[in-house]
Amino acid sequence: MSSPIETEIRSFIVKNFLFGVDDAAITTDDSLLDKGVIDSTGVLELVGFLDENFGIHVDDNELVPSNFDSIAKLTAFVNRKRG
Amino acid sequence: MTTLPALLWQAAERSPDHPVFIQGQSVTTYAELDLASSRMASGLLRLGVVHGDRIALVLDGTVDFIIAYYAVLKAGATVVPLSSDTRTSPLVYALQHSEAKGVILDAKNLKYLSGCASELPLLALVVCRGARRAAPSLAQPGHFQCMEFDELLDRGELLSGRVDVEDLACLIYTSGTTGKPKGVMLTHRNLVANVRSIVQYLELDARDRIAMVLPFYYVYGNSVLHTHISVGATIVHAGSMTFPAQVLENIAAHRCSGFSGVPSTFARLLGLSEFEGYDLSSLRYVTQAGAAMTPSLTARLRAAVPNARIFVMYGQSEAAARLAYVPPEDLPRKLGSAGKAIPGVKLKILGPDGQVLPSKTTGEVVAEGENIMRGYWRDPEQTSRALRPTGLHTGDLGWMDEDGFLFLVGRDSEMIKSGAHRIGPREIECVIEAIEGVRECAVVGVPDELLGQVILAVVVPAEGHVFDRQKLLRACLDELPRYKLPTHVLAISELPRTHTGKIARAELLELFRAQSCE
Repeated sequence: MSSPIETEIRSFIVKNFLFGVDDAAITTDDSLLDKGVIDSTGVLELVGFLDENFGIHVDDNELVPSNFDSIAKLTAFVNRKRG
Repeated sequence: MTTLPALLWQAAERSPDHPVFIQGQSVTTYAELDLASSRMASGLLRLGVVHGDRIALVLDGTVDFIIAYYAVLKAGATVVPLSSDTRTSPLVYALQHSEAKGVILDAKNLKYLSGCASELPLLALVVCRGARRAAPSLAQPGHFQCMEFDELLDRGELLSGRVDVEDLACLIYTSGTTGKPKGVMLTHRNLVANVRSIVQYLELDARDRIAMVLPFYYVYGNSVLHTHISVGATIVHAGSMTFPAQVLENIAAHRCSGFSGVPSTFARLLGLSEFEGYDLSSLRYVTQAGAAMTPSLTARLRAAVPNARIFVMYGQSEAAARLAYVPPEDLPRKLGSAGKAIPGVKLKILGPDGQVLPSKTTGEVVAEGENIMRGYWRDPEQTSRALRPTGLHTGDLGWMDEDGFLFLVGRDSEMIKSGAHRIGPREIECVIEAIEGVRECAVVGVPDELLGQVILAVVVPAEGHVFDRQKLLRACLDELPRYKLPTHVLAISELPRTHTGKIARAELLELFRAQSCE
C-alpha cells in the first residue's frame, strides 16, 4: 500500500514526464535517470513541485541522486524534510 | 602519424597501473582497458567482423563505452557512436544509413530494435550490455546473433585486426537544419592530428584528471576521451548534470585538474548557491565549446575558478572537433572571440565568390588541416558542398581581426542549441505533423536562461480537432528522445509566412514573447 505522498509524487511524474501514460511501468525503486524519465530540466520541475505541493525548499546540495533518483527516494526525502 | 589504438597501447606500455577511468569506487587501469579492448576485438574478429565494418555503440558513458570503442578500432572496424537516449526511428535510421554490421547497446535500448529485423538486413550482431531480461520486448531477434557484453570478451588467443591511419575510425552523426543526420567520416589521421594539437595547447600530461560530464558519443566528448588517453591521463566520471552538486563534489573529491563543458554546463554550476563551498582549487584547465558563451558568463567563470586556465574553443564535427581556441592569456582582450586557429589548422574568411576577405569583413569560415573529415558517408552531394578545393566550408559566418582571432556572427541560423545538443527543427516538425489532429507545425529555439535555448513548437490544429498539449507531447515522446521534446507548445490558427511562402520564424519568436508577457 503506497503512502499518499508517494501517490502524489508518482502521479506528478506520470503526468509531467510520461504525459499521462505509465506504460514504462516505473516501479518505486527504478532509477528515474537510468530509465530516461527525468533529465536536468525534469529534475528542476520536480524541485518546483516539491516546493509547491509540500512546501519543501530544496537546497542545491540536496539535489543529489540519493534524494531524487526514484519515487521511493523522493518519498523518503519528503518525509525527512517534513520531519 | 599513428592510429588511436597505438596511442592507447603506448600509454598502457608507459604506465600500465595508472588509472584511465574512475567511476565511483571502480577504477580501471590502462593495462586493464588495453587487455579488455583487445579481448573484445578478438571476439568481434572471431564473429566475422572484418576491416572497415561499421559497429554502432549505443552505450551510456561508462568504462564499457571506452572498452567497446577501442575494441572496434583494434578490430580494424569503424565506430558509429550514437546517443544512448534514443528511440526506434533514429536508431534504425543510423544503423541502416551506416550499414552497420553490429551494434553494442545498453539493455534499456534493446526494445527499440524489437520487430525491426526486416529493416536491418545487414545487421549481423547485437551485443547487449546489462541483463537482457531488462528488455523483454525483443521478441524475435531475427537474423542477428544476440549476445551479452561479457560474452564478447574473448578468452582465447588474442587476435588483432589491420588498422591503418587512413582507415575510418568513426562515423559521427550530426544533425542538419534540413533532412536526415549526416555521417561525418573521420579517419585515424583526422582524429590523431586533432588530438595532438589539443594536447599541445592544453599542455596535457599523464598527471591530469579530467572530470567528465559530456557524453562520449558527441564529437566534443569523443575528443576529450582521445586527448586524455593519448597522454595517459585519467578520466573521472563526474556524474550527470541532472545533479550538478554531485559533479562539483566529484571534482573536489578526485582533485580533478580539468573540466570540459558547454555554456549551459557552466551556467548551471555557477548558479548553484553552494558553489563557493566546493574546493575546486585543483582545476588547472577548463575548456568550453559547443556554442558561443556570452562574455558575461565567461567573466563569471574566470572569477569563480581563478586558478584555472580557461580555454574558449570552437569547432565542428567535420573538423574532428577543434578548429580554434582562445589562449587563456588572450581571453580578457578577446572576449567574444571563437579564437585563433589551433596548431596545424589554417582558417580564412571567404566571400561568396571564394575570394579571401580582408580582416574585419564578414564572410564564410573556411578551414584546412589534417583534421578535416574525409566527407559525409554515402552523401557525395553534401560532401562536395562542404569540402571544396578551398577547404572545409563550415557554413558559419564570421570575421577575423588583425591578430587572426575569429568572431562568429551567425551559425546555422535555424539549428536549436539546447544544452549540449544541436537540434534540427525539421525532425521535430515531421514528428508533430504526423500526429493526428495536427495540420501544420513549426519548431524554433527560444532563449532560455539555463540551456541557452529550448524548443518551441507552434502547432496549427486540423479542422474539427481540439489542441491537446498532453496528447501531443505523449506522441512526441514515442518518437523523440527527451531532449528533443518541445518545452513550449503554442496553438495558432495559421503559421506566419514570408512573401515567398517560407515560415517566418522570427515572427514565431515574437508570438511566443507576446504570449509569455500576457
